[in-house]
Amino acid sequence: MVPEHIRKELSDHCAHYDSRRVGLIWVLQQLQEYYGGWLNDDAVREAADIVGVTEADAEGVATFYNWFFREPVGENVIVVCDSISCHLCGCDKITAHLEKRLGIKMGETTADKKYTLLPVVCLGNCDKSPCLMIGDELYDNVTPESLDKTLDEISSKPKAAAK
Amino acid sequence: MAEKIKVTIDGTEHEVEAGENILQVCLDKGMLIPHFCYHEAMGPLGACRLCAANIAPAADKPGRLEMTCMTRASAGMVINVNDEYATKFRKSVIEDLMLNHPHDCPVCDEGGECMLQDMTVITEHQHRRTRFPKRTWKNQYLGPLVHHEMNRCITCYRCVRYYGDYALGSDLGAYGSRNRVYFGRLNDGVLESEFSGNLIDVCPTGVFTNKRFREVYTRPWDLQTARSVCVSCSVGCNVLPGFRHTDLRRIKPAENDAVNKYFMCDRGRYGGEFVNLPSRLSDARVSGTSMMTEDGIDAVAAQLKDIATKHGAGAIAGLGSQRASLEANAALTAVLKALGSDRVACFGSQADREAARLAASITASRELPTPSLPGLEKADFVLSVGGDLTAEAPMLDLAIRQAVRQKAPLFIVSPRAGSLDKFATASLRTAPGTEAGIVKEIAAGGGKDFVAQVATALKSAKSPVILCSTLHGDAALVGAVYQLAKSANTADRPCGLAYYYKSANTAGVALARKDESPEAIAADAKSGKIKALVVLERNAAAEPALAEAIAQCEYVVAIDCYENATTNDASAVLPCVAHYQSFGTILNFEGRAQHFSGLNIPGSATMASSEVLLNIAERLGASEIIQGLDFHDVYDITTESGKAVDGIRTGDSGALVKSDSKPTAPPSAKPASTGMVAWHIHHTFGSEELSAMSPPIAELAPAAGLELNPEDAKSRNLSDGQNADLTKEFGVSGLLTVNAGLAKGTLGIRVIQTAVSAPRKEVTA
Amino acid sequence: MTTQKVLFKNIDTFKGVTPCSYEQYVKGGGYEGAKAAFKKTPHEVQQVIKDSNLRGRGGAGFPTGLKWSFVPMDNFKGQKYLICNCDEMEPGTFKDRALVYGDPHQLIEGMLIAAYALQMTKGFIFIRYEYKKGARILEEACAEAKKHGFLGKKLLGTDFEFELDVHLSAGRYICGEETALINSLEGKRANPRSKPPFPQIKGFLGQPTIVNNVETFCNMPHILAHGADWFKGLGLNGNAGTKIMGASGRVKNPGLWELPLGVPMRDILEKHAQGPSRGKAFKAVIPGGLSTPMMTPEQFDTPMDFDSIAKAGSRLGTAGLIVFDEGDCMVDSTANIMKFYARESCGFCTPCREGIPWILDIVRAIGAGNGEKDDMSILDDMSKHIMHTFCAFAPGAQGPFLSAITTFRSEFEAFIKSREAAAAGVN
Ligand SMILES: Cc1cc2nc3c(=O)[nH]c(=O)nc-3n(C[C@H](O)[C@H](O)[C@H](O)COP(=O)(O)O)c2cc1C
Ligand code: SF4
Ligand code: FES
Repeated sequence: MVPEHIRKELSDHCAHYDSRRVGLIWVLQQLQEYYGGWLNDDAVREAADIVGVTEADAEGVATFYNWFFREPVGENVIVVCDSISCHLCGCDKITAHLEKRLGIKMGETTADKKYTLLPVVCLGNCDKSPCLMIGDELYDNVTPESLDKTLDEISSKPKAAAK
Repeated sequence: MAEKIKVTIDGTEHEVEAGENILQVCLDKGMLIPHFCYHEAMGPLGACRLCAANIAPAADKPGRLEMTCMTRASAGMVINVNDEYATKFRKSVIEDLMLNHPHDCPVCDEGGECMLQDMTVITEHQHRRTRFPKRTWKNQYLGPLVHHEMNRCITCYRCVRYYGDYALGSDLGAYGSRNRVYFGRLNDGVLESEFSGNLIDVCPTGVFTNKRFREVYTRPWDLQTARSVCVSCSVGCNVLPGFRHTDLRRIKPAENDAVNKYFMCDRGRYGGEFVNLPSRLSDARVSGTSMMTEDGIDAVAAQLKDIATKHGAGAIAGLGSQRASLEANAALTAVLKALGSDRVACFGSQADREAARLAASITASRELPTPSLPGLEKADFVLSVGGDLTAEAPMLDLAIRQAVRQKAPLFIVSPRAGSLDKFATASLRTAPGTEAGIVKEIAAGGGKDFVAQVATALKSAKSPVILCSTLHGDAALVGAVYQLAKSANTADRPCGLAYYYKSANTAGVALARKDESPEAIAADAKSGKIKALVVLERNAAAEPALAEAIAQCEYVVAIDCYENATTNDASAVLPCVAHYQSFGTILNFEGRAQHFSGLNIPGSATMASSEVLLNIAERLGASEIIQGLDFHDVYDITTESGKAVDGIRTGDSGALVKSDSKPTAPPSAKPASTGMVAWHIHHTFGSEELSAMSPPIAELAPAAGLELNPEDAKSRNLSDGQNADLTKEFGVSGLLTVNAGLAKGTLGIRVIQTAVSAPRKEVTA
Repeated sequence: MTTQKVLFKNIDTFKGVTPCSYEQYVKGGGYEGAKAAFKKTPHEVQQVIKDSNLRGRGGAGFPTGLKWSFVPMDNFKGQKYLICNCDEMEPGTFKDRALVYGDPHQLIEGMLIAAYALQMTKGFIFIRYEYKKGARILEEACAEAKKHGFLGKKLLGTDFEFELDVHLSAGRYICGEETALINSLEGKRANPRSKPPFPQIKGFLGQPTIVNNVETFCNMPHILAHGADWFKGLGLNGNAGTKIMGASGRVKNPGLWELPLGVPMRDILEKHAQGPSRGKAFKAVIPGGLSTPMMTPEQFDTPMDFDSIAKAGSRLGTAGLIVFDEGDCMVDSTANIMKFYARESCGFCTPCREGIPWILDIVRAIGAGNGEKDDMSILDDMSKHIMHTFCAFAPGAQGPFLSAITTFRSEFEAFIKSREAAAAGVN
């Protein structure tokens, strides 16, 4: 359960819309961040309760969208665009490189919970393909070398303090 | 009335209403356009894309492929269902749906009544062209009623549209997306809705199936079925009980436009298993000796005659039954008449009797319109007073949910919050006995808060309805509600009024011309004035007012289908077949006379209770009485069309009965009690006598016990989960639940029938 | 030909984008369009938009003025909503990113003008999750606009008020479909809604709603500032306005350019994108984001405008060219395209939910050398019937798919034949 003051903040935010339900996606996003990057069953129930929709409705929404995770993800979610322009420009090589370096397949999380690797549809950055995102950061014209550099930097950073 | 227009369907011109749904038009005309997501109760969705036809706005305009379910009729429209491309397209939609569908028809319990099978045959899809793996799912545990088999899902969305949108259930959803859409609960668990069983019927394939039926599975075409009427409450849903050999395997709703169109509640669907209990009576038993029913009838007739001769006509009385047919109750009066008696009591207490008889006489007077279920769905104002609709008349609740979906304001006045309260515009929790006063305030207009809110909403409504429970023996409330409805009723704005009752035929026996207070009969039995009691399909020994009388009476004859406290105590027991094998007529809450048919199932009990009684009367030499047995002499009823009542012949939808006498005057309200008032809490599962014996219903029933409002509990130093001993004041003790949804000043007593927990019999194919 | 920079006046996509500040925006004539609009009546503003022949830039090219004309106006008392569609998840499309990241006030001003014209007092910018930074930029710009009296109450000396919220989506291509977007914004699963009723009558929360694309809105300040005739003069051959055109894939210089509507495709491919990237000749172009049918080199002279591209059998869409060269395997490319659609289908209707993954399975099998004799006829059947779905998503998938199996059929057949040959022991 989120602390009461956060709950209140989420609830108040919903009250700002002409229908509380409009706030559902935002509330789920906030809870996902609060719960370490993914939505557990409790988070879904909590969201339903805060917004005032049924549990089934909240779960329906939480499982529909690409950016809600109903399973734990790593500290850094890497999404690699595999749509047509990136495909033409070699995103498969990038994916293969990532899978090799991280020792996981697409859709998996590293044992140390540092990285989760996922495919994503077109990032709207086709003129700089291949491209990928790590967290909120977009990387253009990625090569195996540039990627290694980026990952080295991230790996050397201390783990962000958990909430 | 919408304008009539002409459309052409496959070359033939048809007259239809402008704006009508083309798919429905075709279905009504007997043209089966394949479809899945469209359901008459839920309307079009346009998801399955199966109901395609070539549609042109006019003969001289080009047609194109459209979904018939999404198309509204307009003048001159040309619809070609048999269009070559449309036919091909429908076939390819089926091919798509079959890509992932398991080919498990031989072992699937939907087989034989599977819509997917039917549609596959209609579209002539025969050959699988795919060679790729199918998707698979995990199934969920959904409780004792409904079985889940997700692999068979074709994503028509019917389940969630029914369960969530229609029945307003909150725990079944559509999850995921793309070609992985899952229908289920958030986690394993018992489905919360009291109407979950309808999922079985709305699901076109075998995703949701009847868990009980699965255990004793029979191909549907091997079931013996005759149209019957549900016995589990006073709504009177039409049903199709399915028998195999001597066992009831399942109950399905039967369509009846005037009552339950497509659906029924879980209590009705799963409550019929009392028919299968080992405690079902098969032989007659006289003075501890088993014998054939015929011999038992001889013995009973002789004994009754003897008592009548010895002690005079007044020494014998009958206890009529609210769950037995009008015919059986009439036959009981015939037996009594043959013995020279006219004493019969059909109710459990004078209070119950007064409330039910007043309500039934108001209804049968036809002074005010009684809304049918479809009528309730269209209400634009709903006031429910005195009881818990969901528990006491479940399908009325489902109808009210439809009104709520259409934004009708719903107001509830009752001592305890039920499932429907969460959809209420406003609810008033008030102690038992005070409801009548509130209703009067509403009728008087003015008032404040809740009362004012209801009065205002009622004033602006165009088709208001008021529903009132008679299960709590409050005749003053019945009368007050009548006055309110009468004051709100005008020629151009009729106000619907519906009372509902304890049992399937309470409304019927409440119109009996001869019926007296059970307390009076009990007193005479205790004093020895009454020597013999003939008890018809009724566990009278379990009724507080009658228990002692039964125990003390010299001679008790019990006619019933199952062993209970009364049959255990009785001097003579005569078996009859259970309701779903029996036939007769019962009156539902509307006073709709519905005939139910029985199947002649081989077994040792073969007679309906009415037949048992008529046989006794015959042995008593009363063939004249039997021949002259006129319904109207027994009951205060004719049919609304004015036809004579003898053996009410019911059409498909049943005749509405009409009484020629005016409603009796309501008794004046008892002075409001200052202390705590006891109130019987009825639950959807476990409170109704017959269904409570069904194992799945027993599993869902809450534990018996007592309930108090937190403040009342506190002032008595009682806490939740504690054993509360209120024997001195109320004659009850039990585990206490503190319930904030209970009005102050109310002692809630949960009515839970002690279920006979017997194992199901071994089933042979 | 020199192109007048209108939308990209404050944006240089090649230098990376830093958002144009409020001051800079105003210095370049920003909010003049809004001021001009507020001097007119709402009906007059609508008329200007109608006269400008502005067509929606979200893909379908529906005339904006006409779309607006269905919104109930004078006697309507209830709430109406204005929504900006910045979902932009269509592969090959990246113009809205540039507009939002580069010049947020241009969008806000456009929305303000539309809101005034339609008397809509509440608005949302629906932005895809991956543009989280863009959402921040917009939020900051909204705050700035509010500070300067372009959002909020009593705007520009009138009683008109306009409240604008930025809604960060949770990510799903189907959210770009306007009715799915409305469902999503309402906190529901983004399944499209049936039309009618159209959003203009019954949209967000059941109220009249207009959904327009980012670029559509961005044109409005300029139309209002310079007039409908000026705008009509920007395009070629009777097409109104400029258009952000893009190119990606096998081109030497991928990017975005603001060009007159109606420039020949060849201009973009050769002049702006500077020809093939790896010395192989161009083989095909998907002209307007992934959902448009492929075009081949003989069609490269087609003018990039709605009608000409339609006449050539494709659609202008978002004018984001995706370019293939002779080295690209069209079976493999088709598999990639169908993977996108299979993954992003909302799962509502049968042909889309079940049919597209089946197509994908078959195309992949063919590409992997496991094609079978009947596969092409299944693909032919499927290519027709995925047209008949609830929303334009599956027809969008049909565009590139049908053109691929038609135009490049021999490539598919060659794969299948070589497998048959291998099976028969011939190599
Ligand atoms: C599957 C699908 C995805 C779409 N995605 C977008 C999108 O990302 N952005 C957009 O502006 N329009 C998108 N559209 C078009 C919208 O439905 C709508 O037509 C558009 O937002 C209207 O704006 P306009 O009139 O300004 O062009 C999409 C349509 C479909 C069918
Ligand atoms: S065509 Fe596809 S995306 Fe559109 S509604 Fe149907 S399933 Fe959803
Ligand atoms: S019944 Fe018409 S689309 Fe499903």
